[in-house]
Amino acid sequence: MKAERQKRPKASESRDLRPSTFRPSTPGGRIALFWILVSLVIGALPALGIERFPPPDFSGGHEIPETVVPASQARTQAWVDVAALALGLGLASWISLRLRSRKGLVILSIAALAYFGFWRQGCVCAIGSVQNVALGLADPGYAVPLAVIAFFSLPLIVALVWGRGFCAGVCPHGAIQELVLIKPHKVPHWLDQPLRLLPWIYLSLALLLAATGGLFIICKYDPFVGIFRMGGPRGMLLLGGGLLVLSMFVGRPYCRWLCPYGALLGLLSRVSRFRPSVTPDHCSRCRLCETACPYGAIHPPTTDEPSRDPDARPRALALVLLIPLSALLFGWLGGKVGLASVAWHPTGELASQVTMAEAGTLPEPAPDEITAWRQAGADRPALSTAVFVLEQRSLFLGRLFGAAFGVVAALHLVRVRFPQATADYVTDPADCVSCARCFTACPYERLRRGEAVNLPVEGGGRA
Amino acid sequence: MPDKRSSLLVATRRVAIVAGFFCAVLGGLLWFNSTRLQREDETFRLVEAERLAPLKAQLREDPTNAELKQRIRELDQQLRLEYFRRESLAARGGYVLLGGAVCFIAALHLGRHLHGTRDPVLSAKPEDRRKAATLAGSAVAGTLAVLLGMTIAMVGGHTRQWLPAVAEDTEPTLEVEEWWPEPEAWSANWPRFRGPDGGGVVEMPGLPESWDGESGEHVLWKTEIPLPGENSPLVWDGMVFLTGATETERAIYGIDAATGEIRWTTPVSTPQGSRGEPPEVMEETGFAAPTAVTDGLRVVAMFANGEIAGVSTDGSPLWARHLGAADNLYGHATSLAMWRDRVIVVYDRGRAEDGLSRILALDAATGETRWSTDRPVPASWVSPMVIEHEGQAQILTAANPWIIAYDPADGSELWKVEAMSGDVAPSPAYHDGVAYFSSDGSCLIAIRVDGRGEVSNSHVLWKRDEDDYPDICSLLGDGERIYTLVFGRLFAYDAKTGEALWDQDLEDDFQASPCLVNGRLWLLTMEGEMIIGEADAEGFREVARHPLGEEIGASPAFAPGRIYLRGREHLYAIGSNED
Repeated sequence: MKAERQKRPKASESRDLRPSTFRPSTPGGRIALFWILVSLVIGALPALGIERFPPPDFSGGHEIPETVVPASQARTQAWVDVAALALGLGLASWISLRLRSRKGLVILSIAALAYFGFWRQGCVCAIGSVQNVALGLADPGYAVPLAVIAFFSLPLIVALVWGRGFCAGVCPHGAIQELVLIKPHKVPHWLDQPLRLLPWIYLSLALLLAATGGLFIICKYDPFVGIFRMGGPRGMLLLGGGLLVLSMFVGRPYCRWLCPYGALLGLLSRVSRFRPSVTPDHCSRCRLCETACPYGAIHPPTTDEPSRDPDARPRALALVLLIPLSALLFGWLGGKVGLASVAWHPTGELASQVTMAEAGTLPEPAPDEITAWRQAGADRPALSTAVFVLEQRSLFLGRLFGAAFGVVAALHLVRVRFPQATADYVTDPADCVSCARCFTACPYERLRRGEAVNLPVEGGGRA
Repeated sequence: MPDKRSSLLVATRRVAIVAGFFCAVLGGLLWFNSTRLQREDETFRLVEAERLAPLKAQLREDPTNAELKQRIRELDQQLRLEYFRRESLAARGGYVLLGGAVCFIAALHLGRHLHGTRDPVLSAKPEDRRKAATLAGSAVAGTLAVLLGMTIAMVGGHTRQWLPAVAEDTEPTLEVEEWWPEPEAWSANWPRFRGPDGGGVVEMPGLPESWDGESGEHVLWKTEIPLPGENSPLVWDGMVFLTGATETERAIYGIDAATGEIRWTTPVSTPQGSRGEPPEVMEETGFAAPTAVTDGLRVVAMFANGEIAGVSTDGSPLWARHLGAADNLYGHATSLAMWRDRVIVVYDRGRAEDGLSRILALDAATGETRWSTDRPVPASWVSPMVIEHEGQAQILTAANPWIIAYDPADGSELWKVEAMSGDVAPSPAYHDGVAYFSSDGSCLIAIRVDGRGEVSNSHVLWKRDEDDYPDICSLLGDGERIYTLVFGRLFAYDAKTGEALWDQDLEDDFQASPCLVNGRLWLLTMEGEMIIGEADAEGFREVARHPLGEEIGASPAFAPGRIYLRGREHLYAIGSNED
């Protein structure tokens, strides 16, 4: 997998790692560029909101023609998508682990963005498939299409073996952020790590709402699908535009701090069989890889003796104490959230409106849902029963997902507070999206490729 | 080469600037167009309303005016074309903007590549990872604490605004702890299987002298029950409650005792119950064999799939639980009992070594478990009986091999006797400190209930094992005699000594449990015929037989002046038509 071992150069050969062409850009140019970008994004948003303009309402006398149901989409298209996904995953893993080619991944990302993003318009999407699977498991009456199951499971299986190949070059959401990253700035570790809890919260909430049949929030608030489809609600476009502007300066903010599917991929990547390793053979602790990584996924060494881990005992103790406590606490809280989430469910919302209408506090005119419910017979006991069943389900699922979040949060806290002892710069398998930037930064990797490199002093990065 | 690189860099910069300005200008134009469209949206509607609406109104009065029709069509088309032109313009603008953005980003990347600023640069000082870990750990812990606090603040005071106001008002009343009905109210109604004491012995005034289900004589009403069930009706203050279920549906019914109208139907469903495979049951048992229980405020019902639910007597759902999948050869059929504000559930499942069987006390208002005690027995079908002896309430249960009495306050075992064998189904009888148990292929046994611990050798008053004993029908005892119904024969035993007194072949099959009402035996055959007779130490004298015309498996329920009989499909109210 790695190149043949090169003869290790003498440390005294060179210490200058800066490229000879480095020149700082002018402040005026930066400011001008910034304002151009801002006006670009803001200007683009309303242009995409074409659906807002409603068709004329022709009423009176006009006979509405019979609705023609279009033929269902050919199944072959779904399987072409699955094949493209499988091919993309294979290529991404091969390029990132075997070829170790940043250029290859960029080309793959462009292709994935074009196909899964702009051509297929972000649907089917592995990120959203989590909700279909959750609903399918919770509701036997809901059949999850096989293609959706494939989109859900293939990236997870690949992550289990080869790490986050999906994020590396197949996911259009990751690709669009990756491609607009112009001038990455590092987010401090103390800020990055708490933010990495957000995807788990989002995932728990999304699973709860999906499994109760309420709504698919991941799809509803997908930030980039409006851009892929050249239109959508203003809020969606604003969020997507904002994230894209942020992505120009901060590496993949959505992937790192929001993506619920990325949370699952990260979890499985922790136990993946093969992982990207920064250096092909030897780490001189030059810190170039750490500097090159815009995602904070490369951690510096904690010790000079990898066999000695001073945090081993407190880590074990914290795990034993925190996991059950956190699971119980967040499980309890999840139940409360589950009950509260009934208000977001269409059935809960309808019952709430009916209750307000009965109490005379619902403003007129009544919403369409109330009118439809009244026209359907206004079966109050049936509605109460439906809400009651929904409450029971939401309570159970809320506790379940809350407890699961509690376990994850405790593990995350312990992992951050008591990191594993390492003697070299290592990639964090969960946070690494296999973008291959660190490969091109590593002097030994570049040497392996036959490039002329001034190799660093042993331990020079720590001098 | 450096000159070429520099000129390329300059070119990319210019492309970036041009593309950026192009995008900014185009974005601005599209923004302006969008804002204008937003404003014109109203104008558009106004035009439609001002120009098209009057023409349409005119056409309604003059529907044959071809010229008018043509003008409307032209105006209509004009508006539509304008709409699609604008839509097309916005879409094209979006694509052009995307192209400009691609050029802009590509030029920026190329410029940075040529400029050399994409290569990593070392920061001045390496991070101390241990220090960073401490800081990040504190930040994560703090975030979790804030998250907890915020979530509690947001959902802690959450109100169930989707519940109707009436239900919210009544809810606190329902949640009052340790409420249970007055003994007088309990005794005046038919709140559980086999009446108030669960023994089938009652005094009930004004019962009809005769009836005929086919001719309608003394049949006050007859109501079809949508879902089947072998459970018996409950009666409380003008309402009759029963349940029904199939493989996929479960429901509790509230029926107006005066008219027979089904006033409410409350479906029962829990995620686990709905998702799981339906249990395998015998056709005769069905999915709703356990009789429910009511305390006048709530009705609690259990089903063969392990679901149990509480509803208020107006049908509003209160709670529902799933107690685990039933593992029962014939189907779960044990009826519920009640002690104070607790519903007593005997849920015997599987084999004894499976460790699945248990007895629970659930809060009738909330369904929460007050206590739960494991039982070392396999699946059984005996409905528990709650008695009180010398100030100590006891729950009497029986299964193979143990007869066990529990303290309803905390679920602890009071006493037990090893006596039963095989499939144990008949419910016990009790009178004046002595409990009677029996089952097919086993024995008939009388036990004093004042013992503690295992009392197999000390408190068994008498035991017989030489006769046939009932397989389904419950025992009936009046203090002098114990009656059993075994395959169509009625047996009588001396309650004090266990001596067999007599037996009589009634030439019929029985599934319903016998009752002793107003001193007479009421025996309901599977054909739906009620046999009423008088019994003493000498024998049984049949007084009357009243046909119903429908098969019956459920036991009867009695109320002043009324008898409620549940047939396979209908619920009958029998009473004097003059009432």
